[in-house]
Amino acid sequence: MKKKVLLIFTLLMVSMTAFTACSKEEGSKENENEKVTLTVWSWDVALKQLEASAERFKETNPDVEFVFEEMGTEQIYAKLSTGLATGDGLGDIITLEGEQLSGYASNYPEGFLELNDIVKKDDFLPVKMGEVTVNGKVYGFPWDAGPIAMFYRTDYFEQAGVKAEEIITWEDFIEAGKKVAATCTTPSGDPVMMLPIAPTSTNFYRMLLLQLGQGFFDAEGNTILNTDASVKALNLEKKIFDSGIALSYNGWDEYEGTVANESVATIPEAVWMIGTIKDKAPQTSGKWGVMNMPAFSSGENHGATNGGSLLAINAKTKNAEMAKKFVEFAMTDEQLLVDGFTNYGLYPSYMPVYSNAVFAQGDEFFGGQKVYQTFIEIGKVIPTINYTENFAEALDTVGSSVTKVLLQDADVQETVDKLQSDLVSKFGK
Amino acid sequence: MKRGKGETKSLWRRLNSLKNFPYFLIAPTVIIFVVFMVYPIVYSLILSFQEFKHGTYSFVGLKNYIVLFKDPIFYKALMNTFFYLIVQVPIMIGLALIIAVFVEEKHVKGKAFWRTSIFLPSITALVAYALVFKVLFNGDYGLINYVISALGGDKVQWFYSKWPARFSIIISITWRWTGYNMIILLAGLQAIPESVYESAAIDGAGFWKKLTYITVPMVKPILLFTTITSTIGTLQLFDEPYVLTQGGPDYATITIGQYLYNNGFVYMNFGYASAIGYVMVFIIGILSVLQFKIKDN
Repeated sequence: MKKKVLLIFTLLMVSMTAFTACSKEEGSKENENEKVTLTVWSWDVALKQLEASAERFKETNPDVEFVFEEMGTEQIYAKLSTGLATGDGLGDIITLEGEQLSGYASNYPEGFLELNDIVKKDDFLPVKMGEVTVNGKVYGFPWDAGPIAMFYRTDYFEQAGVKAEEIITWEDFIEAGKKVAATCTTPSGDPVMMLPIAPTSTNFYRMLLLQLGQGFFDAEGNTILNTDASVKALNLEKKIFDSGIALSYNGWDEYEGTVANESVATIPEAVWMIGTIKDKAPQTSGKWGVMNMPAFSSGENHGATNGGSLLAINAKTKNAEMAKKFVEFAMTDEQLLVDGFTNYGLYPSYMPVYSNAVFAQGDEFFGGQKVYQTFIEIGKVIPTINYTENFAEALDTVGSSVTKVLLQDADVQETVDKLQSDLVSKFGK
Repeated sequence: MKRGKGETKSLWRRLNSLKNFPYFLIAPTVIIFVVFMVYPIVYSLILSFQEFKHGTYSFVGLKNYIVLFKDPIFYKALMNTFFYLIVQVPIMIGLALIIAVFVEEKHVKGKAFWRTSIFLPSITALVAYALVFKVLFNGDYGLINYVISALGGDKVQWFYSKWPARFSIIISITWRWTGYNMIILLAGLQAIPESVYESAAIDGAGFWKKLTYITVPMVKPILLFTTITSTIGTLQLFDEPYVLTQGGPDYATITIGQYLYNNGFVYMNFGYASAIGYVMVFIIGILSVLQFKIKDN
């Protein structure tokens, strides 16, 4: 019996040494390589933009090779979780959505390279600096921003006798919405709703909360979801939802559908929505305008933001200096940023490029309106909020509270009190 | 005892004897089993007593389990999972049996066609099928609501309230897995000798009597098999709520599997997720013992 156990054990040991021997060999081979290789993880248009940036970068740094791996956001996060947990298998440069970095970087402070030396704080929109700064350290390079404005259908507004410049507050917005719903019809004959709302998600609530200047957590990471602002935002969302001017949607495909089917008159969304509208509803060219988001009656009105990505560098990369050099180049070169903006709608958060003439141009799709100026102005007044490692979990719990209020008629004050106490007991703060 | 020759043999020759040969043969399986099964099982047990914060794991004793037993979402997930189990498994197995019997009936034409088309859903790509169901269940322009309102009923907001959302999940899983169970039961039906039915017919048994007194008792072991696999499948349910409802509205459709995934890979609480995993192991263990008891009886 002992012999057998011994044998199995030896076999195990042999196989293990074989494995480690393999990995060692690989390691030394890469070091011998003269050429530097950078692996980049990204998605969709961001990937295309980075490929274009790499071509330009190679002109001055011919000894760099790039390997681009395309994957969706979900895929990147799934790989990132496992890669960070095992400390292996990550790309050198990784694209992340802005609000996601804090979760990973605070759980794995050793996982990402600190970029304090190359990110100049004053050059970027403050909201983006909030996203890349985790526990006082900069772990990401800000890329595109998502300032939110109200996209609206000029033709529907005209039909209903509604004037965009007269919509100042959300009250005005609801009244206008009722007129639109009563008079306009979609190409397929249904009444036009004023705006799309996802009753089981937090998107609209977060937008309203941000307009009042707050997020889920304060600067110390304490949960602040039972504040006056939170109650106010949720009450307003309920009011809009109950007024019958909202079209419910479930998931991104249905959201796009509201644009393609022309079933809504307005969409409060980030600047990148321009690309989606042009792509999904080319037949509506010239029928769109952009206006400021309506304000809460209090007059307090910050901007809001949704989405926008950033680049992080894997701390275990073998070519840290080159990776940093490339990221800084791709994220601050004026021509590249302008190209990314005109080709793919990637709206830069690097403020020095805003003086470029391209941002002062009008857009025919929006009846010649100088839409980008609107977004630049909004971008400057978006408050900086704190995302913590608890953001992802809070997002789900807050979503369930929004559902309770909108779909199950739960009391707003009670719901936010319960939400606050649930999260505090879970996160300990 | 004299050792003699054996001592002079090299290690390799000693290992390479005929007596040891079987161990070489099973070694790959054993190694793979240890590395990919035993190690994760043991490691996740250790993890379930740890907490992961700011890049380091630390032992927290039973904290994860204590928090878990106070976690309302965990209970919701547990309730949902058992609801799916208790409602969906009997419906699906019953349906599979009935369809199998009808497809096997002598006067049915185009048997191969029926079999294939009923089996087809279980090999469709998951995301494609879930997206199609999402469109079918859409509150405003979905086909299901169109039929309901054409028949004079009120439109149902499938994904925005508790019970319709749960039933949308049940309908989807039933559509997907009935055909799979039907094929297994069909194999069982075909194994029943024709003579049994003939003699029953001579004794004057009709369709119903044949079904309850011959078919069901004779496919009982296969019914048990499909019930056990479906039970395990339902307990591990993840894909449908993940794609169709994202566990919503208000956690009404979340399953334990999805809650575990969220805690581990979305919230990065690996310790807590492992604790959920171990509670699940415990529950599945009890259920399996129960099912074996029933089988013995």
